[in-house]
Amino acid sequence: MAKRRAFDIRNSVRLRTLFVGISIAALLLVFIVRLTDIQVVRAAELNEQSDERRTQTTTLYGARGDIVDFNGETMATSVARWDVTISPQYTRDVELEDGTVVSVGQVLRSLAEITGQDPNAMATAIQNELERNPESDYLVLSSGLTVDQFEQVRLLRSDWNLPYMILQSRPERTYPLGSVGGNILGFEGSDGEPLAGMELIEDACLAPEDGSRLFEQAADGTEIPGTVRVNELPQDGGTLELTVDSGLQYSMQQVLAQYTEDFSARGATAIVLRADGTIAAVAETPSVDPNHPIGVDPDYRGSRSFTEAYEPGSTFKTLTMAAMIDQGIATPTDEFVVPYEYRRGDVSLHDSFRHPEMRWTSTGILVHSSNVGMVMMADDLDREVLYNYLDLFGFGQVTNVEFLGEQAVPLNDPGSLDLQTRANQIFGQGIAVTPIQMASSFLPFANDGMRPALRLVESCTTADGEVIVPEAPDPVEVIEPETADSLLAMMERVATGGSRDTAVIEGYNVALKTGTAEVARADGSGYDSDQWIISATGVLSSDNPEYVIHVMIDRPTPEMRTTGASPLFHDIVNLLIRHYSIPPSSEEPSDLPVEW
Amino acid sequence: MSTAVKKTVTPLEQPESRPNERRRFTALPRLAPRRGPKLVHGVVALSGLIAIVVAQLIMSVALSDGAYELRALQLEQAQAERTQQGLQEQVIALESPQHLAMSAEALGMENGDQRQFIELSTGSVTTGPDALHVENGSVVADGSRLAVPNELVMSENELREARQGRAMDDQRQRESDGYPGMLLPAEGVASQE
Repeated sequence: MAKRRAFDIRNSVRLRTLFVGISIAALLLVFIVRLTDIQVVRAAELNEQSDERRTQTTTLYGARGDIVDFNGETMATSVARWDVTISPQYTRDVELEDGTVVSVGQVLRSLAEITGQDPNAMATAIQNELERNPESDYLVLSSGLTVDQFEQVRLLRSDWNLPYMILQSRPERTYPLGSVGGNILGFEGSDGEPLAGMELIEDACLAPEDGSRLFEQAADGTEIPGTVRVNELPQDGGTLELTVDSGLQYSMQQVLAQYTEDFSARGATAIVLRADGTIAAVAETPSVDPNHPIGVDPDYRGSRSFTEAYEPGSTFKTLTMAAMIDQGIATPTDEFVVPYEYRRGDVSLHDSFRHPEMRWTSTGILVHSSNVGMVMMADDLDREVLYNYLDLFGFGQVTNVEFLGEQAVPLNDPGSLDLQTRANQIFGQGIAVTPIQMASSFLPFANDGMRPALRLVESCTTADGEVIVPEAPDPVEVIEPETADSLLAMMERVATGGSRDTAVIEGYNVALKTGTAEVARADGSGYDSDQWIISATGVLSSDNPEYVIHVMIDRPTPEMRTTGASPLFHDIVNLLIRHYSIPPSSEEPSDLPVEW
Repeated sequence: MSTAVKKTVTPLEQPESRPNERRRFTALPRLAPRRGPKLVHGVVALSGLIAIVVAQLIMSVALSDGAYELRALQLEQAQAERTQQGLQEQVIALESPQHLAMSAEALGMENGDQRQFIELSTGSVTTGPDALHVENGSVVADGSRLAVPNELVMSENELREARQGRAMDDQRQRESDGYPGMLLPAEGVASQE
């Protein structure tokens, strides 16, 4: 008995030790396994989870660069705007601490009062979103809140302690000058993506690089000191300086608006180029206000000067005349007898006004804009040679600006043209050009025969202060300097020697050529006799050429067609003189003979 | 005084004076067990510890205080930036050529007279350009709209029109979406579309 008991006791102690030992070891094992699981196997996942709760990543927005004009005037800049977003599934009445209940309707009414929206529309939007997805957590109730509106909504939110409403900040573009240069500047979409104009073309210069900051936060969102893990500072976008003078552009747009109204026209355009090829203004009406792009028809949201080709008509005669004089085929004083009509084989054409046989010089043919005279003169002009000149003048190719949607309007193969078209092209019919090409083609007259590349961007200054000036191609030698001088003298007589006296500005020698062109029907069935584009292109001043001006009125009411574009040309030149305080010409005006 | 003391001490410091004295073995008194730390040590250690803890506490309080201060200042800065932006936007609108022209017109101002130029070499006076052909009158074209539009400088009429337009758009949107209590076309009636 005793022996057995002793045995039992010893055994049981040993068993107990063993049992406890195994239990402890097992427990330890469990802990180790669990520890490994947490610390090694699922470490990444768990860290991520905890990070999600503790940390906060904020996007640090860099500012998009400003667009400034030639004088440093801001044309586009960025401001902060706010969106009101709600979580539709949690949008319900809220009970305040003092027991009052704030209903959703009450909130929407107050919000609508601030933002100027319709509270019922908001309610419908919430309902529709919930029908679509009952667990929806995201709905933008209103967007683009200004500072004042933001402050009011913020107060509303904190006063009523609304948990379902969030105010999100985002940068938005604002254009201080409104539609002044809006056609050139372009605009951004509601999501902040540049959609048009220089905003899009020069996005590489303007776009900022956003930074971010990752830190651990306390319950109330306060950053816990020393927990910053990522701190990438944002990089602001560069400042884009344009060659445009916004003051001039504004005055021009103002005048164009008046003309469009007076002429009941579809629109009007005026381009001013400096002699060095920089663009001083590209004014168009109607023009988009980039602050509110949807306010105008999509057709007018870009720059039609670059994108809409037209048949230039008589302004083109200057260029064919320049080619003939440069080739030595004609001189400004050559004498011709010019009838009203011209018939040769299948080719038949006539002048725009009835007249008996006239004794006009080459200058006279240009002054009276005689189609017959031009075609008579061009009998000896090889069309291959002419097309070579047209290429040098810059036709058939996009300008150096390479504006969004800019048209090149390729030149035809001269060999493929029928005789009538060959004749018509001499006076600017049967050929299409863009307004900017037309303006640019007059640069050689202001530049001793050289055509410099057009420039719209002066420079891009990065946030670090580095100034990047885009490289422009070398000027093209188009005509001899003497030819340029001859043409300036001949075009001076257009204002003084004919019936275009509305273009004359006393004391200033201005060279110009007007044009009236029919508009081809869209279906290609010839010309619409009621639709015209009247234009004028010229140089200020002819003794000291500084500016090339091109104006046009698109489809004026037929009664106003005969007035021509010379009054508009006069007014634009007038603005230019006032704007830059250009003194009167010191040389006597040209007295080239018009008749003989 | 000091020399006198030195003299009396000197013999004691010279054990060689008794070289042959027989050494007796005596048990050295047992080393007294190390005396326990005095109270003062405890106090020093403890207070040091407390000081460290307190310092740490103060530091972290200061740090988090700083964090809150920073946050408060950041909020204040954001507020100030918003105020600045609001004012800046007002300035932008007031500075715009449209607003300047409208204000000038409201004050009864007109475009300047012809300019005169004095030729310095001859002293002669020449007159600048003549007047424009168009009646370059009002910046507000047909009574309500700006000739060169700028949404930032909407005239009052335009604002009213815009509001009405938006209300109409909202109404149309609501009708196409449908809303509770809306009268729906009777079923079975052929739609006009």
